[in-house]
Amino acid sequence: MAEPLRVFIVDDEGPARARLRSLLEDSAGALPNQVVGEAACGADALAALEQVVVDVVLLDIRMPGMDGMEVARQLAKLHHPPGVIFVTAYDAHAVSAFEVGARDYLLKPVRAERLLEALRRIAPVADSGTEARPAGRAITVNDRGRVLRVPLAEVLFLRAELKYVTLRTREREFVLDEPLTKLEEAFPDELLRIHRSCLVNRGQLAGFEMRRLGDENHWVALLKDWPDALPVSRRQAHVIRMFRQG
Amino acid sequence: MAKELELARAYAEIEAIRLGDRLRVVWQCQPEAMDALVPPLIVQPLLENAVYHGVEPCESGGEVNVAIFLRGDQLNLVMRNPCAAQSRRQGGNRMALNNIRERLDLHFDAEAEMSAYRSGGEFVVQIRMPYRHG
Repeated sequence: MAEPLRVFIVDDEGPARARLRSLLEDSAGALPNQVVGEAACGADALAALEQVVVDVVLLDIRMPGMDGMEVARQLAKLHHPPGVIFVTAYDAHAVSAFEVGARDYLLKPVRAERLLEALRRIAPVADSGTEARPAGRAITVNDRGRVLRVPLAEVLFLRAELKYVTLRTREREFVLDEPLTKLEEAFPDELLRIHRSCLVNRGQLAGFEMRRLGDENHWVALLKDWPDALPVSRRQAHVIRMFRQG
Repeated sequence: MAKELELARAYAEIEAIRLGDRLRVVWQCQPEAMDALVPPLIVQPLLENAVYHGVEPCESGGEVNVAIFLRGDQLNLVMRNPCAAQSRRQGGNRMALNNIRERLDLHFDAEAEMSAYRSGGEFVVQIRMPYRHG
């Protein structure tokens, strides 16, 4: 990534802001970032963020005056809404946090690896330029007690396993409860069914290849910069024809 | 009482690191009252309540007033903090207040009194107990 991730910190407590700053500094080697500003209250944060475009806001929830939830709601109305990562000492707000479109939810005391993980999730979006991030194009997953929104752009494919559906990104795999059909209906333009048990992200699709499996020829789907090919079922072979036609 | 205040001041110093100049504590402690024998953990929990409910929710912070003085053979402790106009913070379960009341009753029976009330934008806790000293 050429440009460092532009970060803004909002917390009413000075030591909490200082800790985030030093964690970000420590992480700069692994993920280039730059703290472009900070604020001690919601009103100051909104005033500053109307002037300067940032990639991510690290946002405390419990603050005097306007709380972090309200700040997040206001930020979502900006022309270039930044990614919001909540940073809080309380886990009681997790569900409402995602209702206001937060990308992640960190519990204090924040650990460097966890912060880095959260920032990495934002980075690809930031990297795609100034194009506004389409709101809501994300899939919600449960992950070890956290609720996360995985942006659709990061999804490689979704696969139905025996009792659940797995979502694969370049970094890792998530498990979700929603059936493939529901996801296919929700994102008809983004997700393409290539098999009864598999949806791929059209944006990640590189092409198709005929492979010999035993005595038979089978189509497989190839993804961009991804080693594993995904089998295409005969029933779904028409997608290859559509792909050929663009 | 001197030890009680030492603990409360140490706690206030920690909160001051967190809250910066939003927290202001005014101590009005009569030196003659410092040798009073009091049940442990009376002052600090009250101060913590005052910070949590009175100072933290307020953007510009607030002042907590701690007054300790003798009146005749009675020791008085009065703590005041601002009441946030419309605090989003829940009222709490009054655990600290109930615990303190219980300890006062155990030590002094009916001879100690405690009251907690709102008055003119402030929350006030008043404790009166017999002055006993070592």
